[in-house]
Amino acid sequence: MPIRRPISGTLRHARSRRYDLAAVSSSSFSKPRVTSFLALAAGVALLLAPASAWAITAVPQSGGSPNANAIADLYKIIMFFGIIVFLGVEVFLIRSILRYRASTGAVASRPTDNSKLEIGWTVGAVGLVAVLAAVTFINLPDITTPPNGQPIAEFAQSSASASLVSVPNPPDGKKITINVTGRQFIWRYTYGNKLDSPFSYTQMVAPAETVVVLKIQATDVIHSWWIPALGGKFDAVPGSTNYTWFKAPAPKDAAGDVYTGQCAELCGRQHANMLASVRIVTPAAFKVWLAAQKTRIADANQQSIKTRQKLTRQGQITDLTPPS
Amino acid sequence: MSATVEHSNAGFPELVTHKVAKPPVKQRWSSWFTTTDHKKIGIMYMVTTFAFFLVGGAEAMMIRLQLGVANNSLITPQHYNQLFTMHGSTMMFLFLTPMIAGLGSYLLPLQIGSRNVAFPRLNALSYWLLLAGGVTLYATLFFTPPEAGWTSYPPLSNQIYSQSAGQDAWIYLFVLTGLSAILSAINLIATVVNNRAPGMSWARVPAFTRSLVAYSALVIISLPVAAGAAVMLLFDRNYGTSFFDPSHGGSPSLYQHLFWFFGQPQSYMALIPAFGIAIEVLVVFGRKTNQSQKAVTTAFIAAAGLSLVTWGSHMFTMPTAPEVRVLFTVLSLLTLVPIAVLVGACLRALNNGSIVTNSPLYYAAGFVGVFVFGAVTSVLMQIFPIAWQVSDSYFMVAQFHYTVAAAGIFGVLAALHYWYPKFTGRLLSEKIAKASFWLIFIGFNVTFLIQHSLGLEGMPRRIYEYGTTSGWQSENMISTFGSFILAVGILLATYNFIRSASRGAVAGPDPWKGNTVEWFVPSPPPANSFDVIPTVRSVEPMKDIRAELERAGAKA
Repeated sequence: MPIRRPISGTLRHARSRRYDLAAVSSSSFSKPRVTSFLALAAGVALLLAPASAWAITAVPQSGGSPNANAIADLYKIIMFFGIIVFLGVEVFLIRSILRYRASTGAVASRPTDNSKLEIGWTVGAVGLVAVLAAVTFINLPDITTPPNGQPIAEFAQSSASASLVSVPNPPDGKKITINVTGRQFIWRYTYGNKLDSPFSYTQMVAPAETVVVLKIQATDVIHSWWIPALGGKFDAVPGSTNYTWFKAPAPKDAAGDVYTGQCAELCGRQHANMLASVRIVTPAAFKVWLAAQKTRIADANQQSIKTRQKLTRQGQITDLTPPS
Repeated sequence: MSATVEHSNAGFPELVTHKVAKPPVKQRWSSWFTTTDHKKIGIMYMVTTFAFFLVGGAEAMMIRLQLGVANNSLITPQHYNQLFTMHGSTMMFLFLTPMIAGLGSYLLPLQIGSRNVAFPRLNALSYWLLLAGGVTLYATLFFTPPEAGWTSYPPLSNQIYSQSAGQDAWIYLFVLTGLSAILSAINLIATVVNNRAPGMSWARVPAFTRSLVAYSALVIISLPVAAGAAVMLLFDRNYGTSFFDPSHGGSPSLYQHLFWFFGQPQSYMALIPAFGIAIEVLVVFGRKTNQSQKAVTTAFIAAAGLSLVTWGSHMFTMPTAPEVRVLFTVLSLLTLVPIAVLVGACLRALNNGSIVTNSPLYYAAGFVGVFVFGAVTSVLMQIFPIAWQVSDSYFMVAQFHYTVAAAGIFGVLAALHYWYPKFTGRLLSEKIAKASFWLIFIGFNVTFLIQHSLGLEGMPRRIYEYGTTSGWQSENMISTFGSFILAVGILLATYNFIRSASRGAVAGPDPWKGNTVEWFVPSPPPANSFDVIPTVRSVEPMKDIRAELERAGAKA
C-alpha cells in the first residue's frame, strides 16, 4: 500500500522562506538575454560564411582522379541535405528559446498527445536515410570502378586472383599495378612483380590517363595510404592486401604534376614525417623514367658491389660475398 | 510506518513528504574510504572524474600548443604520442564513462525513490576499481607512458613496436576501468528493476534514469568483448601468444573488430545519457511535460541496439569485402532515425514552453545545438566512400569532438549545473555559470569547426608537426587560440563549482521546480535520502506534490 500520511508538518516546511516551492519565480533568476542569443546567431552565421572569406576548405580534395571527383560530388550532395537539417534544427531551437520566455509572459502549452508529430518525424528521418543511401549507391560505381584508360601494353597486367577484397578493374581490363609498401617511416613503390623490378621511395612516378591500381601492403605496423586529390585512404595492413586506383589527367608540363599526401594511420613516433607524393607524367615520359630508374638502381648496385669488394680486400668487412 | 511523521490533518491523505530533520551525525574524514552511501560514492566519482577531465584537458592544451605553429619543436615526437594517448584514454576511460556512472550512482536511486543502490558495497568497489585504473595509468608518468593511441592498435602496440611497460599499464587501465563500469552498470540496472518507489511503473521512470538503463545495457554487452581483446593483447605482449600478430597467423584487424564492438557503443554510452540529461533539463526549464516519453525510450533502445551492430563503420579503410562496407554504411545511417527522434524531443521540450533561462538550460540547449552539427558530419563519416577521404584526418577529430566531446562537455556540464543544488545544497552563481557557458561555447566552436577544414586539406590526426608548405598554419593557429578560450571557460566553471559550495545561495530542496522525486528530498539529501518514500502517481511526481502543497496551502 502507498504510504498515506497527513502533511501538517510539511506545510510549515513549505511555507518557510527557505523551502518555498511555489514562490520560486523565474524572474528571480535571470533577465532575458536576447542580445546574447543574437550574438550566437551572428556567430553561427559568421562561421557559415563563404569558405573563401576564411580561406577554409569545405569539400574533400579532388581533381587528380575520377574517384576523388566522385567522392567530392557525393560529399556535396550529402552535405546539402545535412546543411538543410542543421539550419532547420538550429533556427527552430533559437526561435523557441527567444520566443517562449517565461519573462515575456509565455505560457507553456498543455501536454497534448502528438503521436502524429512523432510518427511524422520518424518517417521523415527514415525517408532521409533512404535518400542518402540511394544517392550513395547511385554514385558508388564511379568511385569503386575505374573507367577505361589509355592502355600501356608493356605494363598491362591481368587481374589478380579471386580475393575477398575486390581488385579495381576497368571494363576493358587494361591497367597497370604499382605495389605500395608501407614501413616505419617510408613508403616504397615497386613497379612490377619481378626481383629486379624498379622501385622508388616516398615519391611515386605514374603515367597520366592510365588506370593505375595500387596494391597496398605493410611490413611492420599498420599504415594508411592517402593522397587526398587522388581519392580516399586505404590502410596498409601487415598480412593483408588492400587495393585502390587512380587515373590522373594529363600533366600541365613535362616535369609532371605532383600530388602530395602522407601516412594517415598512427605508425610510431615519426608518423608525421611519413610523407608520400605521386608525380604524374605522360605515359611516354613514364617509360623513359622507368628505364632510367632501372639503370640508376643497377648503377647503384654496381657501386655498392665495388665498395664491398674494396672493403673486403682492405679487411674492413668479412663474410660478405658480393653478388656476382 | 515511521514514527517520526506527525499524524494530524487527514485532509490530504495522498500527500507524503519528508519532514524529519535528523540530528546531524558528525562523520570522520575516514568515512569517505568506508562509505557505501550511493551519494557519497557518487560525489567521489564525480570529483575524481572531473579532476581527470581537467588533467586530460591540460594534455589537450599541450597538444594544441605544439600544433599552434608549423615545425614546432616544443614537444618531442615521443612525448607528443604519449600526450594524445593519455588525453584520449583519460577522456574516454577516466572521464566520460565513469562520469556517467557517477551521476548514475548519485541520481538514479534518488530519481526512482530508493534509499540506496541495489548493491551498495559493489558500488564502492566500482569506484575504487576506477580509481585504481586511473592511478595505474598516471603512475606511468614516472616511467614511460603508453604511446600507441587510446585505441592501441596492434602491431604498433605489441611488444616489438611498443616495448615500454606503459602499454601494459594502458591494458590494466582498460581492464580495471572496464570492470568498474560493468559492476556499476549491473548495479544501476538492478536498482531500477528492484528499488522503484511505490507507484513508479516502468512508464513513470524519469528520462535520465531510462538513458542510464540503456547506458548500462551497452556497458554490460560490449565492454567484456573489448576487455577480452585487451587481455589478448596483454598475452601477445608478455606470454608469446599471437592473436594479433600476422607473422604467426594472427590478425591485426581482429583486434579492431573486438575493440570497436565496444568503441562504437562507447560513444552512445555518452550520447544517450547526454540526451537523457538534455531532455530532463529542457522539459523542466521549458516548464513543459515530457510528451515524447515513449518515443524517447524507443529511440534510446534503437540507438543503443544499432550502436552494437555498427562497429565496422570505424574500419572502412581496412581491407574488407565491399559487401561488408555496404552493410555497415546502411546500419550506421539507420542510427540517424533514433537520433532525429531524440533531437526532436529536445526541440519539442522548448517549443510552446514557458522558458526559464537558467544556466542548465544554456548547457542543455548548447549540447543540442553543437551536437546537431556533429550528427551531420557523422553521416559523412558513415558513408564509406566519403569516410575514405575524411576518416583518420582532422575532420574526424572535429567530428567526434562535436558528438562525443559535446556530450562530455555540454551534456555533463548541463547535468552538473542542474543537479549542483541537490549535491551541495547551494546554488551556483548564475553570472559565472553563463559567462563560462559562452566562453566554452565559443571556444569549442572556434577550436573544432576549423579542424574540419584541416582534415579536408589532408592533415591526418596524431601528427606532431607539419611543414610550412602544408598551408595549415593559420587554421591550426585559430584552433589553438580557440582551445584557450575553451580552457578559460572550463576553469571558470570549475571555479564556480568550488566557490559556490561554500558561498552559493542556499538552494532548498527544489530550486528549479523539478519534475522528479530527487527534488523532494532536502539538499543535500540526508544519509538515508527519503524518510518517507513518496508515492508516485504520474511521470512527474513532483508536479503532483507541488500541486497538493498549493491546494493544502489554499485550504489552510
